[in-house]
Amino acid sequence: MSYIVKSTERLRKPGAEMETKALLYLMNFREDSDKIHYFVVDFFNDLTGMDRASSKLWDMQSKGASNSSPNSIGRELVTLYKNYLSDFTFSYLILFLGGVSNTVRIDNSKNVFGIENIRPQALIKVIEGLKEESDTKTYIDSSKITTTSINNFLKDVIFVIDDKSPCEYVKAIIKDHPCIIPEEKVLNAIFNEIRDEQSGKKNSHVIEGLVISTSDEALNYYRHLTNNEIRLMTLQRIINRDPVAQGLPLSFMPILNQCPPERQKDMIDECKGSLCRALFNKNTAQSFWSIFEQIYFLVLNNPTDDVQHLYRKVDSTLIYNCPDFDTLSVKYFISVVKDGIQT
Amino acid sequence: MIIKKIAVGNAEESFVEDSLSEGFNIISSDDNNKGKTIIIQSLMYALGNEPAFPKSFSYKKYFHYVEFEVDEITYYICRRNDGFVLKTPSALMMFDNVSELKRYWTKNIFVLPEIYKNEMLRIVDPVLFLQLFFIGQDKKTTNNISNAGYYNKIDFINMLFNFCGLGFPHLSSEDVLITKKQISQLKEERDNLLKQHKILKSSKTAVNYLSAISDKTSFDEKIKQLNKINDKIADLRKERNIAATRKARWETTLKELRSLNRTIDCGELRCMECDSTNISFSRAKKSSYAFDVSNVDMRNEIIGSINEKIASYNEEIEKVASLINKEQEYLQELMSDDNISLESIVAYKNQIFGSSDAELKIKEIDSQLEILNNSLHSNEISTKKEKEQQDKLIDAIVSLMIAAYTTIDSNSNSIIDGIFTKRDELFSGSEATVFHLAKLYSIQKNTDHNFPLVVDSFRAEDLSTPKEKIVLDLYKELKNQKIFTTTLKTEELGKYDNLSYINSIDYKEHVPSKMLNDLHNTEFKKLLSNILIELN
Repeated sequence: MSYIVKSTERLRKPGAEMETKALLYLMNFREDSDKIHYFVVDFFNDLTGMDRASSKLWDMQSKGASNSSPNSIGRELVTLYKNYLSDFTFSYLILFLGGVSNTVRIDNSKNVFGIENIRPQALIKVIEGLKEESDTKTYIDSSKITTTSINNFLKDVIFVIDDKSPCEYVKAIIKDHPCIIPEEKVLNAIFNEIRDEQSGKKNSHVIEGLVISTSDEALNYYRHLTNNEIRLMTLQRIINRDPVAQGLPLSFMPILNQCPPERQKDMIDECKGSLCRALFNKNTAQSFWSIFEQIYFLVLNNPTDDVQHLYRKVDSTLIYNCPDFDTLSVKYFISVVKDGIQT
Repeated sequence: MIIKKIAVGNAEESFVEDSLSEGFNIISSDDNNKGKTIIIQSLMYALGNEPAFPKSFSYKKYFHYVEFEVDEITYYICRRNDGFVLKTPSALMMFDNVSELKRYWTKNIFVLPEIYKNEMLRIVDPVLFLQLFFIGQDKKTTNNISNAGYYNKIDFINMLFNFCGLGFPHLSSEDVLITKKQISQLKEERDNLLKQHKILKSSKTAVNYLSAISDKTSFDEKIKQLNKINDKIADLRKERNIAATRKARWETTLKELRSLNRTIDCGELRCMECDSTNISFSRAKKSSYAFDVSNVDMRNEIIGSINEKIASYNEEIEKVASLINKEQEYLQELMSDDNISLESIVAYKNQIFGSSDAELKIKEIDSQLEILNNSLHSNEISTKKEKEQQDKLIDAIVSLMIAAYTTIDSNSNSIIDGIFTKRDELFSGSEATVFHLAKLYSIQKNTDHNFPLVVDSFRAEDLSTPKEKIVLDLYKELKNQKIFTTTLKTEELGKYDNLSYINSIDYKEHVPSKMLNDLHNTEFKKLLSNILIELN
């Protein structure tokens, strides 16, 4: 069993934006979203979701145009079809569309649907489009293109129509912490960051022509993002927005109150300064994320612990790896995270 | 803006005023010293005003707490000495001086006016801003703002303009020429004086000599006073140093941050034998990636806030420096009125008077230079059209002031020709009271601000009953919250109880000079613990 990587592509902005939306759709808006752990970019397809054990695959193709005709929908299906015909099993085949022309759907209010919601005439055009496109592509063995296989393939495809703005997709990431939803500008900035990281993946290595024998090998090429990374990045961006201007986290007060009054101001300034340094230090990004991740989960799992207790649970090697932090500033950071996600 | 609650106290004693309504409040009592002024001053002090408490009240011992509402958001502010705690719905802020408070205020609560002062655009301090809607009991003058010091009436007018969105005051082109000429003359004079002034700095200072020969006992007395001032100066210097250190720390942080925002690249590998760079090496870890810890927006925002912080410390340093100067001036004054023997006068006459005169003059010239420079500077920024609008605004305020004044006091023959009277045309007694009430009224009418109108002792200097009635009727029409205070005569007791539009708050039951007591302690502690101040 083998799989040959073919037809990877580079995209312009609207396409890239659509791919990010597709990613966030996979991450947040499906019933099985929790199961998707890896998002492999531009490897099997535009985007492929993978579960933690890399045994289950969600294959996704996205199309930015807001008014796709049945024929062009059919043409877009070609990469999904290619994967369908390959030796690997893709559990879900999803076509993510910016929009479709009025002649496509039977029920226009349905934004997630299978072929049963496509009008018969339109379906004929879809099949035509797919056939034409398959014939021109060299990577599909023309002997495999049969009416039965196309019909079976189409039964498996899920069509999803994008009906949300970028910030709504980002909002969904933090839906568990409704109190910290920031302004749209911030959400859009986060969206753009995810987008840039995602398109950055495409430029990493040339993978065209690679042959892999199992789906988990795809992860070796590091063209993936993980669910957790995206979630943490989003939370961090919101919680740590301008630590200098924003006042004190309330959960830091017990610690502050033990400090002599004339030193309190300096203590706060020092903590804020350290946090700023950590946020600016590009060279310890990995360590920052590790410590942030640990604190985040500590706070979630121990909601009643105060900052002192939480601090004792933080792995001290993580603190050593983050030269910008010291004991007090880590406590301050814990307070910021705690107040950010709990209140 | 609505004031909802005022409280003052500490762990031992306290008082909470929570019966204020959004309409017309009159706080009254049958005697003096029942705490009306303290409550009003606490309110203003908590909002950042300079303290003007009665002398018998040692305000530094207490927390001053105010709950107020702006655009349906409730804020809690508490001040003790120079420390402020402000609670907003989302955060708890601590400030250790007024400049930090006002900067936060203007960014997050509502925009405070800005004026040019010392050739720098700065946000006005509460002490000036509050005078838009507050008349205190003391320090009332009609020819200048009250608490004149760092700010003066020109600043007040500039603030009014800025508050109404009319920019800054203007000069005609001839004025500019004249001003420039004046500046160069003053500078020349200053140079000359400086030469004379050198004597003061010479080692055999006349002052030392004079002190030595002055009478022993009065000298001791003087030393005590001098020490006191010296202590004060030392304290101020300490304060200035702290501010400077903090400023420096943020400046270093800023520099550090800039250097951290750089990815450090490692050198490349070369073969030692052939110097080829074509060497492969395998990494221990797989090539991984991470999101940056912050993005550009975030970093810019942080740098912006740090700069802001530095600016506020700068301002604080400047302010403390001006306080130090004031104390030094006072010190000099003390030293110069020494008893001087006839011989010494004869011996040192020229030097002493020549030099101390010079110093005074230099100061005077400096302040004149400053005013001229300020006016030149702000002039550059304004346009002709704005000037017309500014004149119009002043005219409108003054004419309404006159109208209000004559409504209240139809028989007066005092003439009002500006927001402030001329130096030699002081209004006094009830005339001054009416003047201020008319001004407050007219400013509200013309700027349409929504701040509470606060008048401490609105019947000061025996405002007659008919006049008082007119005042109440005038103010009744304004939609703002109003907080007035007054002392009632025995036969007047309860006079406001029957007026439906007035929320009469009676302080009659308070023990004179002992308004704070332990009855309110539980409530007071609760208020403060809400903003995380624990009393013990």
